[in-house]
Amino acid sequence: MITGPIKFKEAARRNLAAQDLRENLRRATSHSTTLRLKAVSAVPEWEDLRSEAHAIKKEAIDHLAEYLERFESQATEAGCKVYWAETASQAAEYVVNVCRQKGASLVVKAKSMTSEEMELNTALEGASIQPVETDLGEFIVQLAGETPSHITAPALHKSRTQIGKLFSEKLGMNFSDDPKELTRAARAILREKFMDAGIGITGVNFAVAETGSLVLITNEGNGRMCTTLPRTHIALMGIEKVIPRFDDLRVFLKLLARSSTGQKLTSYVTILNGPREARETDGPEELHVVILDNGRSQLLAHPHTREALYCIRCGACLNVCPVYQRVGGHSYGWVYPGPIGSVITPELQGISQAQELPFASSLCGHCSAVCPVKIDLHHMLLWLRKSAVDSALTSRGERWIIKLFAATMKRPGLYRWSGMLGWMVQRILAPRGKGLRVPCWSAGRDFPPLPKKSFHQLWEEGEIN
Amino acid sequence: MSLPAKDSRSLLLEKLRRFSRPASPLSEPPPKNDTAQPGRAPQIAVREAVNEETISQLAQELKRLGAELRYVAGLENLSAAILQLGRESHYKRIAVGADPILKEANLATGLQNFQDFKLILSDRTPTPANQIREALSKCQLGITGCDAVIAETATMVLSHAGFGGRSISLLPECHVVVAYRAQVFISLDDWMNSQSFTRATLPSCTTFITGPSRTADIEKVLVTGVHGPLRLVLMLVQGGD
Repeated sequence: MITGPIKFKEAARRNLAAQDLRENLRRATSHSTTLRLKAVSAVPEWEDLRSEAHAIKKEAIDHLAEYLERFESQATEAGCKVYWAETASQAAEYVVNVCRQKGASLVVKAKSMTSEEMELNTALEGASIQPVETDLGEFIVQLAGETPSHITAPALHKSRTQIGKLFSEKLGMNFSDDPKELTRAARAILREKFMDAGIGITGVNFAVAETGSLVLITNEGNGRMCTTLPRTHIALMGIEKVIPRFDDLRVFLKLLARSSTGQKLTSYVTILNGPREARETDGPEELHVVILDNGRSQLLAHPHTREALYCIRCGACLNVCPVYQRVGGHSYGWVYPGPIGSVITPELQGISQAQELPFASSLCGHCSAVCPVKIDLHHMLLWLRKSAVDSALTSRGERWIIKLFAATMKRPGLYRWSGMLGWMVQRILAPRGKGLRVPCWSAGRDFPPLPKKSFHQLWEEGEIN
Repeated sequence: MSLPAKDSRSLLLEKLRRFSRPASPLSEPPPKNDTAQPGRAPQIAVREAVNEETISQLAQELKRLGAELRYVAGLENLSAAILQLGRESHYKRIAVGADPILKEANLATGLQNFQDFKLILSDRTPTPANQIREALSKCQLGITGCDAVIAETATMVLSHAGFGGRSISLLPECHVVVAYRAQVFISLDDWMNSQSFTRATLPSCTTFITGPSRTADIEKVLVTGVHGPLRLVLMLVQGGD
């Protein structure tokens, strides 16, 4: 839970001033955008795939209760234990209880944004259970005592030098800024943790209703480790992860990796059907699945935001967003940053807690254009802005300015007169040849100088044809 | 456990029903093929031979991923091919899975004859299950078969029901996949069309492996070899049709 209203503007201003952060963000997002574009351009049927994925997700979300029940019965049949949690704290309590029951003191975790929502690490530590993040990016972020700044690349806000210093400080190794050396060091440390841990916790990318399968998409192999070595596996999923049929995977597998990292497929796609069978020598003896709501049903209730539940968490909308590219994930104040975060955080945490987020967008629409499941993100942001205005959450001054603007735009006479008035004010107040300086607004941008004659005048005088 | 599991379940489902207001009733799921036997053994999907173009696409894709491809003239040459790989890379400790293709090649016995290797595991060494992973983690070479190879993405499909299970393709430094040329499919769709997936036929774990484990979490620099194998070699055996 967040403890007070998210102060996006304040955090963004602070992060914009951090030069090294700007450089790290620019490098990471431009790299990902380039790879994505290359991968997507090679698929002629890309637009059809997006439409198909949108239709499948629509079907799943429109019949969410039925598909979740079907998934539950199939997964239970396969030997899973399914637990439904309305809130993040219920889910965390369940996980802690399972760990206690198993007498586990060490838990290995593969990257799961759902577990971030649950603040699971804090809950586990409170019960004297050590959680170890095993995704390299999450491992770095955990060492630094931070939270992920991106949903698929948690440590993209850090440079190799920063990570090298962190490793030498916290792990006692000699300083190196070589990514390969740093990765090998993490491998050695985490390999031992995998061997010793009693419990493995992972997220879920897709839950198949038809077969009760859990699908995990990873590159590093930590997801496989967590579902191979520990005796108990706990999988955490939001209610929106369910898809109707096994066959639907062929669509989503084509879209997800390409959108996220520009790969055709990630190194590993793991499909789990229940715990290990009697004749198997490895894999968990128990598999728990936690199905979490935590405010998602609020998204479902509103026709304007329902489509946000189609999200498959690829991170493409973050990478292309001109706002995210500059302010970074931590500015958004909660688990999910970027355009998708600006849509779901107000619903999951309450609009009064996150009223600034829908305004953290230029409404350029790039997020909607890259979304692999065609979520109309920027129109949702616009709608959330409207509801913020309707609930009188914006400042009185701003509302007056907008009213004045609307009145002027409706009346051609007033419009012409305001243009002339603007030019006269500029002549008195602004330096020659420069635009006006407007309080606050001009701090980060220039107001263009107004010409003496408007387009209307030039047109009427025949100077334009 | 004292948690009100049923309560949160019914409350949540009731909320979802109220909020989702389905426009149309849910259509029935597609008919399932329930005739298949439960607990599908690692099956080899065999179809008509693929052409040279497909194989060269596979080779290209593997190269791009940093994985390796070696051709083996026939099953009788497999031991020698693995011995050569081991000698080149100074691998000494080796684990052999129990896949049909490896048994057919008599690999466990074949490799035992070479002084270079210490055969850590095979289905003939009766090691207790809890020691298997310790041993496997020390292995440099883990050898398995696979269900299918997808040329378009250079993906190997493994179901881990047999001996050595999920670990043999995960813990050793280098994973060698042995497949017949006839197991190559053009695309994932192509392979999926040849299968039927039901709860009863799906094994507890299926993995699509596409290249060695990798990360780009530090400054987007690609590093291969994170938690899974550092190296992936496909040995494509002539024949199998």
